[in-house]
Formats: sequence, C-alpha cells, structure tokens
Amino acid sequence: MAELKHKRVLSLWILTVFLLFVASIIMGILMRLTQGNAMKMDVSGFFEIMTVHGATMIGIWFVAGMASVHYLLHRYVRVTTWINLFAMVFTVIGVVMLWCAAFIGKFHAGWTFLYPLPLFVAWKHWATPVFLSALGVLSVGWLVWSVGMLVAIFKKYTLQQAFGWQYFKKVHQVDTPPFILITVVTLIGIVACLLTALLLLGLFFSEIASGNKLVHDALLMKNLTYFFGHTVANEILYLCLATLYELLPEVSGRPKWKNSWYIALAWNATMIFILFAFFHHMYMDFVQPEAMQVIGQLASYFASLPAVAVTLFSVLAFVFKNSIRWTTTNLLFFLGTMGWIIGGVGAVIDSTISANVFLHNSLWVPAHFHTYLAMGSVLMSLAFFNWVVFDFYNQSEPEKISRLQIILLLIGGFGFLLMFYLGGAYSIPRRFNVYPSQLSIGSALALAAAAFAVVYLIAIILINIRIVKRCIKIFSSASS
Amino acid sequence: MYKNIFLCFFLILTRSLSWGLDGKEALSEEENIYQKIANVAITVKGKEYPLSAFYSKSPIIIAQVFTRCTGICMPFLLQLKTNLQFIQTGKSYKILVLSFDPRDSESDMQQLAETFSLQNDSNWIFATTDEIETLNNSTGFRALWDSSSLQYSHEALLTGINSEGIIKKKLIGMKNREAISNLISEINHGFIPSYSIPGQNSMLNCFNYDPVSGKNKPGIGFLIMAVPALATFLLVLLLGYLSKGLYHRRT
Repeated sequence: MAELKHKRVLSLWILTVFLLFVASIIMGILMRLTQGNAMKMDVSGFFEIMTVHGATMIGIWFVAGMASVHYLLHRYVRVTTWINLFAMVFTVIGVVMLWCAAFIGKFHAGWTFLYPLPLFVAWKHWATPVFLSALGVLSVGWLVWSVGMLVAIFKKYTLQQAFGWQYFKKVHQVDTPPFILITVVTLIGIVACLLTALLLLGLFFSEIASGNKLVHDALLMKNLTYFFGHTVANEILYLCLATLYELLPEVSGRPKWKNSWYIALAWNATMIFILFAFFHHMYMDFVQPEAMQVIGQLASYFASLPAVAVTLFSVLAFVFKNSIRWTTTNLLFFLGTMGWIIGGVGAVIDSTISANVFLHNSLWVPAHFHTYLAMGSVLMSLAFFNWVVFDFYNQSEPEKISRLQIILLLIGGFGFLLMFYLGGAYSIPRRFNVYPSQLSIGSALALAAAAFAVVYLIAIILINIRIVKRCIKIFSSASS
Repeated sequence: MYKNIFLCFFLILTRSLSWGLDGKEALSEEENIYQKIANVAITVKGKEYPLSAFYSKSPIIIAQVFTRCTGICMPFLLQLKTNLQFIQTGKSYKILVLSFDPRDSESDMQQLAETFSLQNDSNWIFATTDEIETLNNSTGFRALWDSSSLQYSHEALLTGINSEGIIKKKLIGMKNREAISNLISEINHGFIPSYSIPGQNSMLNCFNYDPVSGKNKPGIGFLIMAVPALATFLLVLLLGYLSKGLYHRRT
C-alpha cells in the first residue's frame, strides 16, 4: 500500500511539473515575441512574467530532481512518503503565493529578487512580503524533504560510507552505490543553500519590519542571494546525474556502475567547490576582495571539472563500441548529458574573469543556463519520467524511439539556444523587455528564438503525452 | 585656511538659502536622472543653437547660475574652475555655464566669462536661453525669487549630460575634485565605484571602511556569509553521529 501511495505522489509531481513547464515555456515564448516586436506587453507585465518564468522553472526542475531521487532511494533505504507529501503541500502553497504576488500583486523584481529591488515597491505593497514568504514556504518544505532523505540514508550508511571515503583505503567491506554518494553530496549542498535562503529572507523581513530604518549591506545580501540561487540551480543538475548513474546502465541492459576512489574523490570535491563557485556572480562588485574573486573563478572550474570529467568519461566509455539497447530513456539521458556539458562549457567561460568582463549581463548568461537546464536537466528528468511510468507497472520500456520527437526536440531546443548565444556574441543585454534601434539584431534573434521555442514546446508535449496518460492512470486507479 | 573659512561660509549660506525655500521641495540628486534633457535653444556669442548641438559633440556639464548673484554662484564657478585645473581625466567634456535669470543678457555672460578669465577657453561656454522654465523642469533645478533681497534663492547644481543627451549624474552643492572627476567619468560612460558608508542603522556590513587608513576591514556580515555552510556542516556531523549509533546497534 505504501508503495502505491509512493507511486501516486510521484505521478502527481510529474503532472504538476508538466503543467507548470508548459505554462512556463509559453511565458518564455511571450517574452521572446515581445522582444521581437511581434506583440506588445506593458513593461511591468513583461517583468512579472520574467519573474514567474524564472522562479517556476527553477522550482519545477528542482522538485522533479528531488522526486526522482526520492523514488529511487527506496531501492536502498527506507524513506518515508510523508516528507514527500509535506514538500508537495508546501510547494503548491509556495507556487500559488508566488504567482499571486506576481500576477495579482504585480511584483516584478525578477526571481533573483536582488536587494534592494524588492523593497523599492513599484507594485502592490503586499506583493513583496507575499513573494518573500512564498520563497520561505518553498525553502522550509524543501529543507524538510532534503533533511528527511539524508536521515534515511544515514540510518543505513555511516558518514564515511555515505561519502564513499572507504574507497580511499586499500580494503573496504561496504560498497556505496554511486547513486547514494551523489545524492548525499547534492542534498548537503541543497541544505546549505536553503538555510542561506531562510537567512536571507529573515534579513529582508527584518528590514521591512523596521520600516526600512534598518538597512542591510547590499554586498552581504547579494552574496547570500547568489549562494542560494547559484547553488540551487547547480544542485538540480546533480540530482539528475544521480538518477543517470542509477538508471542509464540498467535501461541499456548493461551491468550497474560501481563506485571507485576517483568517483568518490570527484563528487566530494564537487560538494566543497560548488559552495564557493557563486563568487563568480560578484566580479562586478569591486568591494569584494580580489582574493574572493580569484577563489570564485577557481571554484567554478574545480566544481565542474571533476563531475564532468568522471561523468563524461563514464558515459562515453559506456556508449563507445558497446552494444546498447537504445530506448527513449537512455537516449534522453545521453542527450541530456551532452546538453549539460555544452552549457557547462558556456558557464565555465562566463566564470572566467577576463571573459566575464565582456559577457556579464549579456544574453550569453541566459544562453548557458538555458542550455544546461532546457537541454540538460530537463532531458534527464524526462528520461526518468519516461522510465518510471513503465516501472509503475513493473514493465520494461519498449525499444522504440520516435525519431520525429527527438528531431523536433533537438532542432527546437538548440535553435532556441543558438539565438541566445548569438545575442551574447552581439553584446545584446539580458533583461530588456524591448530592444532599442541600436540593438535591432536582438529583436530579430528573439523572434527566431520564439519560433524555435514553439518547436521545442511541440516536442515536449509529444514526448510527455505517454507519460501524462500513464501518470493519470496510476493516480486514478489508486484512488478508485 | 582662509580659503576653507570662505568655503564654509558659503556652504552655510547655501544651506540657509535652501531653508528659505518654504513650501518648495528640496533638490534631489536622483531627480530626473536618466531622463533626456530638453533640447532647448541657447544663445552663445549672439548665435542660437539647440542644446543637442553641444552634447552630441561631447558630453557637457551644465552649471546654472545668474550674474547678479551675491551668494553661491561666483564661489561655485571659481571652485569648479580650480578643481577642473587639477583633474586630468583624459576624457572629453565641456562646461556650459547657463544663466537662469531672464535679466541676464549675452554681454552679461561674456563679462562673467572674462571675470574668470575663461573667455578664450574653448572648453567653457557661457550662454543664455529663452526657455529657462523648460530647462529648469528638465534638470530639476528650482530657483525662488526673493523680492526683498532681489536675489534668487537656489542651490548650486551641476548636471552631467552624456553625448546622447541623457542626464547621467547631478551634483548639488560645492563638491570636491573626486566628485567632479566621477561626474566627468560617468558622462563618458565610465564606471563609478560606490559602496555605502556604514551607518548607525546598519549592523551587518561585510566590510567597514576606515576613513583614516582608507581600508576596508571585514565586518560581521562577512562572517554571516559562512553561517549556513557551517550550520550544514554541524547538521551533517550530528546526523553522522546519530547514524553511527544506529549502525553499531545494527551490527
């Protein structure tokens, strides 16, 4: 019965993610059409949509990753469904509050809500506290979820085993699956950034409560904001990679990947370095000591390189000259890995101080993060969804791939991203609702991007039809 | 020393004149920032030009004065001239000294230029305009006529306009060289670093600026940045400790 409840919750997560994903893509298309002068939208309307689009996208792929990991954790440890339900209730409340703040309260300070912008009220007065409270509700829900999963893991694995430290010794008795190792290091990063979010929100509310008599240091607020925002966006990918390590060999009909000293070392290093990588968002903040800027650049390299090197090597060695039973699931995992790598290279370039001077706040920035999200973590999460709807019925996925869906996905996805990269190359600034005549190339690129995004949306709907049908079925069959 | 006393006197005078602006909102350096300046017609040496004819060639700094001023205008221009002699930015700009008094004629302005020995300096332009009201609204400048003293009650305002005609920065009062240097840099699209000086209502600064040494010392905010990571570290240790107990009980 518990198993059935677990499947129901996961199917509800998948349906929620799919609905919000489609809505967010449509918002993205509307923004690009506005930038392309194909439609008119008032300024505050544009930035309201931008705020909701950003927050929703980050939120849904975070919960998609968490729900996937939660489901797969059942293979190794006993993890309660209640924390999953708790997180869902808090997520629904948080999303409703967030959408209300933006669409009714007209809040439009962006999902990064960079201090002191939310306090310069250019919208309904209640919208700022509601937006910040929404983030607080989401943070609490997800924090309980993360700690709950960590507790479940630590009940079976000791600290050393969970981190895979036994692989640094010559002899070890207990094996730690790569899935457990990656999940642990990722959840620790998530706990750190969610605690940061709560601290940040506390500082915001203290200023609001004081009637703006208490003024916080903008540098502190920005550091905390990016510690939260940058880290959570990266951890989404690591959640997806945990599912990839667990499922890619399995769905390809190959033996499971084993853990080793270099995998353990790579992920332990990633866990540490990712906590310092956010400093690369502070390059323009001249008060930040130079040493911290250098640490930011180095940590950005060291956070990405070990995980990328180990995962890319594993995936390519796995695919190269091996007979793979290709299905939609492992193809999406493979394409998602490639999207993650391409976006990761863009991110590493952007985190290089000498390049950031030119790329900062240009369309290069959304280019790289859309790459590793839209064509990285989204594809990996879709791979998991595609696999799990068969796992619900203890079935194997058929060895049939719809070429049309994959071709549409690649053309739509990479075409859409290419327009961002070209915009970055032409120094088109980000976060402009319309472009002045001097940047008319930005409008043309935006229009082309909107067309590609429509193709991407069609592909996403086609891929998800089967997933949604099966999720509705498992949800309704369980309730009847 | 006498120079400083002189400056202090006029600063106090300027402040007292601004108090005299009863019912008038005080000037703000933020007002009308990033707005396009009104393209009024100005008269220079008997010829009329649109304002854009000047700023489109190089950024300009507008100083609004009147020649019959017995208050801030003369020391304001004198200090501006002195400061600019010491500022070597290598940036292009011109100073447009514009009268806001309808009584001022072209010859009054030329006489003013001669008073400061600037009549042959191509960087300085002395001009009048018939569209004073429009220009004042555009720069946010306010002058109140005081019939008892036959003087305008006003503040010293410098308005920095970039080559697109956008008001990039305003300086109210008599400013030091660094502020004027920043103004020149900003109208030339330069980067102006700024960091809020810690006040009594701010407790959590990352750095505290020491005006004596000119250095930033780490503050409590710097430590706060590490709090979530440390809390997570302790939480993991706690969970690890508890799990160890469970592990031993199991084995």
